[in-house]
Amino acid sequence: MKKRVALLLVFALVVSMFLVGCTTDTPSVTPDADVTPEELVNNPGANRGNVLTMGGTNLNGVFNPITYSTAYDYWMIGAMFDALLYIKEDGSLSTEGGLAEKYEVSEDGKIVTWYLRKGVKFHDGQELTAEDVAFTYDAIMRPDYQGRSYNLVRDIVGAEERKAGTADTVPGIEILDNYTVRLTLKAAKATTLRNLNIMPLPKHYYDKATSEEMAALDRDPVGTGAFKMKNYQVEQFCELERFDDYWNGAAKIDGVIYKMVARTNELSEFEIGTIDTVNFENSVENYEIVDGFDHGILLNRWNNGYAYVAFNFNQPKFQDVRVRQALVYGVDRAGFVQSFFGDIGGAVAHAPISPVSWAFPKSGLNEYKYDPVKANQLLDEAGWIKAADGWRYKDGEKLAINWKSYQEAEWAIKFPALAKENWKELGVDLEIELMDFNSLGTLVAEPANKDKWDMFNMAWGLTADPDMQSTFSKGTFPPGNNRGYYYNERVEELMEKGVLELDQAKRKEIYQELAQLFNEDLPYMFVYVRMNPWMVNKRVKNFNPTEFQYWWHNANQIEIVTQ
Amino acid sequence: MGKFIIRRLLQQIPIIIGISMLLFGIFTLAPGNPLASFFTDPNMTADQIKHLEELYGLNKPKVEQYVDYVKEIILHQNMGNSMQLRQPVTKLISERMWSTFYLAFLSLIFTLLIAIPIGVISATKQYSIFDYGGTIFALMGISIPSFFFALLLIKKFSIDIRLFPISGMVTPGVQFTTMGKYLDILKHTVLPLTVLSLTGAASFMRYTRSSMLEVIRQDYIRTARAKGLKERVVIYKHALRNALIPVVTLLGMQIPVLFSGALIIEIVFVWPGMGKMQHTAVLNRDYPLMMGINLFLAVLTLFGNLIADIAYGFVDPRIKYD
Repeated sequence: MKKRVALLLVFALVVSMFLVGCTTDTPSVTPDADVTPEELVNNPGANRGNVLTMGGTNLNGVFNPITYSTAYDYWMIGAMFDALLYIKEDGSLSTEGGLAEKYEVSEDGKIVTWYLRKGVKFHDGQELTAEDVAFTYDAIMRPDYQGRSYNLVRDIVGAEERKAGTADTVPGIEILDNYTVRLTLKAAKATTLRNLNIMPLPKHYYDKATSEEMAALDRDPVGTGAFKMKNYQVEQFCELERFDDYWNGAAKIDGVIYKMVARTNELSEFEIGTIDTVNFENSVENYEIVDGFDHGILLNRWNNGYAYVAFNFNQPKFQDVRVRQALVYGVDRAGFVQSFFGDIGGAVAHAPISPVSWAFPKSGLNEYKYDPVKANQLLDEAGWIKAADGWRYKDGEKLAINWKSYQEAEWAIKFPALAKENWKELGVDLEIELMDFNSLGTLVAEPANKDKWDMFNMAWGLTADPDMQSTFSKGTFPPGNNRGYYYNERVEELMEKGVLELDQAKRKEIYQELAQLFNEDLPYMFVYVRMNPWMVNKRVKNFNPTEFQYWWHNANQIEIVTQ
Repeated sequence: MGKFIIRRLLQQIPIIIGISMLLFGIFTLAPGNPLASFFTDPNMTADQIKHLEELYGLNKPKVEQYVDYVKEIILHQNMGNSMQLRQPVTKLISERMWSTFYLAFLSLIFTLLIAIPIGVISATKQYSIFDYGGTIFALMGISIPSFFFALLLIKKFSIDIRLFPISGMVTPGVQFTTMGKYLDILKHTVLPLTVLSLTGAASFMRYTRSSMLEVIRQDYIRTARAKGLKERVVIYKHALRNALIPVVTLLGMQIPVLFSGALIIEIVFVWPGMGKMQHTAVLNRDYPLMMGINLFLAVLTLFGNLIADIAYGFVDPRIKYD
């Protein structure tokens, strides 16, 4: 054990920020084991009192729900702000636990009315009103807004004009009375309610003339959440304390501390008890190490996202589906996933939908098991013939591929290397080019570079809704998110139908068909879906992040067993 | 002396302008984009990215962007906001520079306390056991990667015997008395300080040794001995002062290092320093922050050189400014 820790310490610095793991088993859920006081005697975290200490990577300190940019900042934001609707374990939306007491959607789906709970207090004592909700939508549409949320509110009537600076008011946002807001939309979509589910900002506090002035409040947020800001120390920790007037029942713990820890030492910090929870990297080695921690429980659930290798459809060689299929058959993805993440860290991905989503088809997906014979056969059929030098040619053109990857993540270095080796046996000449993530992202997003690459790899994070138009639609070619210039008429049609269809059962059918289409047509080589494992000290109860819920979804319920 | 300093200070102005142009050119012409993190967000669309480019002025020609940047600094003393951290660049630098300086300054003192005596003794007792020991120590210090040394110390002192905390500069969530607070910081300082001092001392020791060796072979040292001065006076008064001249040059160069931070140490020990911020600024192509940090360091470098030049006047009797 100790030897292993030392070994890990040595190599971990080199390890990426983006390790990934997968399993074919169903994820294990923590039983809320009853902890006896005797057990706490040997618990290294037991003397830290009634405060939850979480370990994690650096915070940026942008604690504003409309301008934050990293998931870790959002971990703090969610504890300090509530959304209009609560996201349940299966990803569906509910008024229970949300700031909206009820909502109405008109028959045509174009009018949404929010009825707010009465008596909800912000941290500064003022009451939440319709003004605050209206202000938050408006703030996202302002011309100098620098965040990422505009896409969520762009369907509101008048949003475009507000953003362009040609209007100062938004006709689509109406305050009916102190607790009622009516939104009028240009189009009805299945994703509308989810998109409009904002975390309201208090207008009296955040209504500033410029975005810089609003940014000046980033570190002193005021929300309605169960915890409020106490002390933020850059690159050290963020300390929250209980908000006693919380509308949904004050939290049971006194506070939450987010302690920044180094990736290399995150498990050591947990081992010696300086932190109660750690969302660790899902590598084989890490799973082995945490196995030896008696004072912790492993929460091993899916991460909602997938890693992929994109094909560039501007290159004639990739327009033949047989070539794409051959390349996928020709690389040992299962072996890669196994060696990287072991049995419980992740699994091979087969479609652009999270395996925990309601839209994911239970069967009917081709697994493309490693099969060089089949791969060779497909390439022969496609007209790429092996020449005497061992490489394949068609009309005098060699089957050579330029794959751009990045250095920051270990899988992004090792997976292309495996493909190079595997494909060499097929007669496919792979050239790998490593760059930094920022350069790669810039390269493939620039339309002028569309001939400069054949393949690249990255990962997508998903939301609870399966809509994937932004990644595979013709309308989102670069600089949009469809970086591979993928276009398929049937897919296009189905994706549009999926967004506009409001009936859940029919949507399910549409997305299952889409999953199968993607699985067969391969706009990407899907690589893996991974686990998102947590170690939680046994003294903490009710700490239960799930696939669609952040750790704070039940922040006021979390308890700590003290001696 | 006063005239010399004023002349030197005036010379720095065109140099700073040149440096700022060079930095701006290198940063903005390098591949990558400050908005790249938005490219990987499925919620961002092309027209919103275009809108952001216009907001940040990234769509303008580079020369115009540079002129705007300089104008903001001169007219409004505003170095801009970090695009990633959304706070004024000057604020971000000032909240990290003193913790960086604290660690670097302590480590410089320890470095000198270790390096100069060992270097001098190694030189005066050349080829003795002490000299060989010092050389081996220096070789080890130079060759051991600092992150590896850091992890070894953490393994031993934080995990096995739990004497010092693994990381951080303060213990979060504990109410300390003023004294307790200092003690807490001190406890967190020991491990990173050890790594920085020992690895830093190694190269300083080599400089001192070789410089000292050169000096004790000079004629004036022989003269000093010949006129019957005590060996201690010969070495520590006459030789050491001359041997330290190149070391002073090195020390002048250390001034920007005091504020630039030690990236690896800051990452491993989660120290709130400039190195880490600069590193992430580069990874994110956060132009205002990259410019701010590097201009700050450039000014310190120039200042350090000036200080070194003045210090020569004191340690080297041959140099006179008038």
